[in-house]
Amino acid sequence: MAKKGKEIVSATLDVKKLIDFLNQALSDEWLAYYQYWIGAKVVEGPMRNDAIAELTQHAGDELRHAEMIATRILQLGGTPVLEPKKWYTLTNCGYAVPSDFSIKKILKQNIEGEQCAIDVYNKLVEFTHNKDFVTYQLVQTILADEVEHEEDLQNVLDDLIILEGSLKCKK
Amino acid sequence: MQKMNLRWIFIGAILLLVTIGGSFYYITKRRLSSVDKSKLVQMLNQAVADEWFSHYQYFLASKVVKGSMQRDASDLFAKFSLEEFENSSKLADKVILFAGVLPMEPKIWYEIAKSGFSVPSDSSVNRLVEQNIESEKSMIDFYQQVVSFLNNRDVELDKVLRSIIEFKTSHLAQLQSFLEQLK
Repeated sequence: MAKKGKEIVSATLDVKKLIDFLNQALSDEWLAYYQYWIGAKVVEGPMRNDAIAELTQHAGDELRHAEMIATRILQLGGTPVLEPKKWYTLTNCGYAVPSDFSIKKILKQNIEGEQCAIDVYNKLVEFTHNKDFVTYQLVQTILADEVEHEEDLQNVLDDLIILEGSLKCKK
Repeated sequence: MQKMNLRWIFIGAILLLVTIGGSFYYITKRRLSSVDKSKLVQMLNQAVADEWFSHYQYFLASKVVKGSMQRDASDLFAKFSLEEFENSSKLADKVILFAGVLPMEPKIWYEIAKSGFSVPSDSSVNRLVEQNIESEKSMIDFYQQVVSFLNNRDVELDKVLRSIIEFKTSHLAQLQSFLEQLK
């Protein structure tokens, strides 16, 4: 634990609360990581390969976010959530089981997940603004990634809708 | 005359190829069909769940570990964590190939995993290494059961399983050697 670093943060905000928020975000990241991973394995339909490329890349990004958050929790003297079953009690955004494997459904499910994550990180950015520069920077970086993820998925979905439209016209 | 001979040679070669290909297909199909696929998929899914548990167990260990040689231990755990993920991916691809349904959410891991998850509540390097040695041993045992069940009836899957056992055996050896260095 970084004593001086924690001391500076303690002076301006409730560190315990911050650690709780970060553990909630850590749970979200692991659930999103699995949701993307499994989505990439099961997705079906046209433009499947484009979707797989995005889902796989996003899965890797969520793991990277989890690494960053866990490291910060430890720096603040906290303990990262110690078992997977606790992800379900701590999560902000939950887990959307991909029971329908169609590309559209998988993309929509993950877009909703990203939108929720954007809200969560936006709140964390506000919570840490001018109070904890290290966490602020970290959540800002993750927020930017999540915004990009939403955009990427929406683009694949839009392309898919255009493709479907042009196929209908040909018929 | 020479043209006729060439034609017969060509037809003969085609027939030979078809016969060899057909026999190979028949043998392979028969061998695969003699495996209880639903049992096999169930076992592979159990392994997928265990690999994900192990992925998180090593991930946490790499973060929380304290004590002597902390940096080395952390690097080792982080490397193993990623290897467990790669194993889970290889197994998941096989489950899909057999038209099985993967564990669709993490809570299912708890219902199906064989080795389970060991909470790293004690972050001392010795304890974490010991905990992961136990997990690796348990997983090696399980993979050996899957290999026996398969009984060499699917060469490709057998290769995958044996390569994972190799990974696990190597993890086990490295963890045991690490523990020795700590003494």
